[in-house]
Amino acid sequence: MKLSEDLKSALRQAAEQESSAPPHEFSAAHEQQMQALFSAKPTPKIRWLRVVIPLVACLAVVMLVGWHAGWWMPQVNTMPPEGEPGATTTTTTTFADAGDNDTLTGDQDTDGASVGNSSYEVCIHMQIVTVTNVEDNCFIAVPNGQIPNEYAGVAVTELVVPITDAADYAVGDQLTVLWKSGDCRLEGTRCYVTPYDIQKEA
Amino acid sequence: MVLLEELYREHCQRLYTVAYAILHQPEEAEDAVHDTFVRLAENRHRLHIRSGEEGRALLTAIARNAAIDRLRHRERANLPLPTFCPDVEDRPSAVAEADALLAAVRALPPLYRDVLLLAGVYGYAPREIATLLGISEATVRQRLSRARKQLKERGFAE
Repeated sequence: MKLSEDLKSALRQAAEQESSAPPHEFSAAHEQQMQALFSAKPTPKIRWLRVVIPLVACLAVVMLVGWHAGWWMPQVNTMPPEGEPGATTTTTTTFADAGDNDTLTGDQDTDGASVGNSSYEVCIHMQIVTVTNVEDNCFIAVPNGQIPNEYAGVAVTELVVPITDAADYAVGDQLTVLWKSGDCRLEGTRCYVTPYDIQKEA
Repeated sequence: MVLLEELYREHCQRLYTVAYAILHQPEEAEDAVHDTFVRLAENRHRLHIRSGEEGRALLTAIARNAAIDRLRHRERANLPLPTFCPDVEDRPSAVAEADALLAAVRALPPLYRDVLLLAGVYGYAPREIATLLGISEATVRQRLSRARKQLKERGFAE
């Protein structure tokens, strides 16, 4: 909209000459209202978008990285081979090197065969145990069988296994504990395992 | 919001006076000042204030319209919209001394003068003015048209 310079000047002057009156003391309620307005945050919708979208993006990245890194792997479930009741049995899918040190596999003890494989993928340990003590968050058990398992040359006399519900276990229970190689920690002759399965014997 | 608070501190007194001249009630005039800054906050992304003078004119226009809105909502709002709202400081000596054009401009109803100032001097489009002042675009165009008509009747072309 085009106006002449004279008219523009007159409009500006008129606006400048807008009222000036004695100062008014604004009420406390009004000042509070104004402060609330100045401190107002972005609308919930905008704030929601600013939080949710980055969160979803991060989650997507984490899931992608985790999937590539193999964090979510398929469950390995091996049924314990049938054997004499109370027998000590261990099973392995593959293991790194053959030899006397691989006593955890148990195969050497049962059939005397020496099993070896050049590639190491997953070693599943399986042990039949008898519960000797039940705590709130774990149970303690002794390996079954006349021959105790040996782990890294140490005779394991006790297994400590974490549990979620102590009510599910009792002293004297016969259980099969399965855990992956590496999911255990030796302290003296006591082995702390992180099982991926615990099965009750019939 | 720092800019908003600064504007408030600078103009609150003047805007209160503008609103009080219409509403004649201190509490309502304070509320009209609050409404002014609420409207400013809601539309801050549309604002292109290039000078303090423009900001002042814009705030005055918004405050005046906010006061008129409040007046309309009162029980007494059945009264017709004032066609001439004298300034609080309408001094005969100032009018006498003023240029004829200035007198004509000052004689315009403030509502008409505001939209003419925003559109003609600061370059706001009618749609922008409508959004800022909380009125329809048709009302903006109507006020512009009437302002020009009144100036023309007093012998001043655009």
